[in-house]
Amino acid sequence: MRRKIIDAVISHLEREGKAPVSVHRLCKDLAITEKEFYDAFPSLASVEKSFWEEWIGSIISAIRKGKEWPAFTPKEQYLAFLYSFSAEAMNKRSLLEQRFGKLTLLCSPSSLDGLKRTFKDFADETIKRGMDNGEIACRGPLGNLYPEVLYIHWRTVLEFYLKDESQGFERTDAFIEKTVEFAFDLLHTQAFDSAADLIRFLLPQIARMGRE
Amino acid sequence: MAALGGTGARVGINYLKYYGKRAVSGAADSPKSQAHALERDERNAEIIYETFSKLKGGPLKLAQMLSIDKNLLPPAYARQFVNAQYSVPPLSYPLVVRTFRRDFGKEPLELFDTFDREASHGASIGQVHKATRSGRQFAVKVQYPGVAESLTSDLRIVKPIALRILGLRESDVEQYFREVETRLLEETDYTLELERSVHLSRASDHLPNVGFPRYYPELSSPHILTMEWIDGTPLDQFADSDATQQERDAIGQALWDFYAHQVHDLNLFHADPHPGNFLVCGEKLLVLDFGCTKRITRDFYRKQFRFLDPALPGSPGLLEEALRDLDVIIPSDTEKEISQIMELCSTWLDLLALPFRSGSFDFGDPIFLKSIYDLGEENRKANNLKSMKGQRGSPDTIYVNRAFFGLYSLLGRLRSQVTVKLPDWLKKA
Repeated sequence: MRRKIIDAVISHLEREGKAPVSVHRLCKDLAITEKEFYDAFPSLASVEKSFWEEWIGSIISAIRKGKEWPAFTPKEQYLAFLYSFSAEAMNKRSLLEQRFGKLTLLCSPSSLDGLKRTFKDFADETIKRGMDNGEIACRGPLGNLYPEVLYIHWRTVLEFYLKDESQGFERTDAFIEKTVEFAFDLLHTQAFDSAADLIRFLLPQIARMGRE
Repeated sequence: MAALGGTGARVGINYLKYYGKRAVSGAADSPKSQAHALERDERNAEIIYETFSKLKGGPLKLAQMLSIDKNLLPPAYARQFVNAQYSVPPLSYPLVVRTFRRDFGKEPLELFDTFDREASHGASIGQVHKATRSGRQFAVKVQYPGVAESLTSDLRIVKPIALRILGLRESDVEQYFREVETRLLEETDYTLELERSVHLSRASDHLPNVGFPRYYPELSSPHILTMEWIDGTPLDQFADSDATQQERDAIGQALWDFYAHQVHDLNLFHADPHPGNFLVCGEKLLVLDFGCTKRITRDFYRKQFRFLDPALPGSPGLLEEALRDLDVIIPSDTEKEISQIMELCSTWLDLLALPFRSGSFDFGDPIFLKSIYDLGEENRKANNLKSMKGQRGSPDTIYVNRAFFGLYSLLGRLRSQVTVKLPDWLKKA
């Protein structure tokens, strides 16, 4: 039932370019009752939220199955995730454009809440490994901010990707490569004194690299 | 050896003539204004060098071509500049995997038994990884993403800067931009490189001391090029080693013969000879990396290499005709301009065609390359050259010059003595 509802909402979004009119209408089209819908989801918005959460989750579990995954350093794991993301994003580009094309970095749409949670769990795990092997500097409470920083970084990648007009979106790959290099350099050398410093430092640099 | 000794002496005397000669005579300047001009020149050269050195990729390549062809930099800068290779940052292993996924839909370890995570060395727009399969070793060249895109936009951005700093006109350099841009874009297409490599290696495998790696089309794609892994000494290491004169001559001869065959027989040649493109393996010269190849028409070939005709230096009529044929002298030129161009070109010709004059040549003679640089320096300071209007010559000459300049530099570094044969159509009965 869950799957059926998610698929229906997403295909509606992709086909019509906007959300379904109402739960009632959707249930009619699917020949299910409203009760069946509300047993699965509290709202239409949460259906989309689940979709994005599961989407990113499937990308993460797929890369974890890679033969070489255990041997990857944290930076390589994060890179592998981003490249997998940019490959998968090609299948969902028009939906991504429709739903997130007009976002600014400071916007945090609720439809991304689930995705953000899953992403930060992944980032957290990756960063902890990095701290264990010295690749990432431990900064006490500041270290707790790292998953948030990586999430912001992912948002810049998404933004760059949606604006990218290069053949095969190769420029996005180059952007990923350069910015991750930069971000992990920062995390390694702790070239900042506070959380605010970090974010203030990171965002313009990333934005600048995006323009190159 | 005695014959070569005699040749050497004769050639030496000729050099002194060029060394002291003014390429183009201008009006005499006062010593003070000459000093000012020199100072300004040096400062300009520094700015040019600083600016273009920071640019990588397309702009740097363009500047290299301009500086060779237009003698826009003093020799000291030109030498450093020309050898700068534009390079991309390294690719992380996940990016290599991504590139494989893009082009093959498979990961490296699905196509090879082993695949080195770290690159063994860089290539100009990518890097090379060693891999094995069924006991064979491979060199897999992987390209950095987005190079073709950024190339076009980089060149567009740098064009107005180049024109302003170098004091050139749009119309003069338009063809340079287009030619360099086309060649650089070709370099980003590994399927073209594969095609050219296979063709050139098959067409040249009769040459006794030249070898080529085997190429693997089924393991190649627009961003990935797979060839046989070959161990050998890079040519620059060989040149700087204690290799004997005999070894130097053998390798130099192989290099010369390879180029003679490409240019005169195939009209398709490796246009950016750089020590990194060659390996020495025992007595063989191995040619790798056909990234930059240039094809010329038979018609252009005849017009360009007519200048090797031994009858030309002694005949102004023939020289003028040959220059008009190539649009170096154009119909709107005045008598004065024509004679300036003729004088400049015959000086250049005498120098550059020297290796072809006596059946053999000693590239180990340091005065030869120095004279070429010095002549370039003369021309750079000659303002009346810059002021000559009109688009001259053919853009095809850019890479012909690049190839010969590179070839002479390599042979100079090798200090080889080579025998030189004129192509049959230029030999007198």
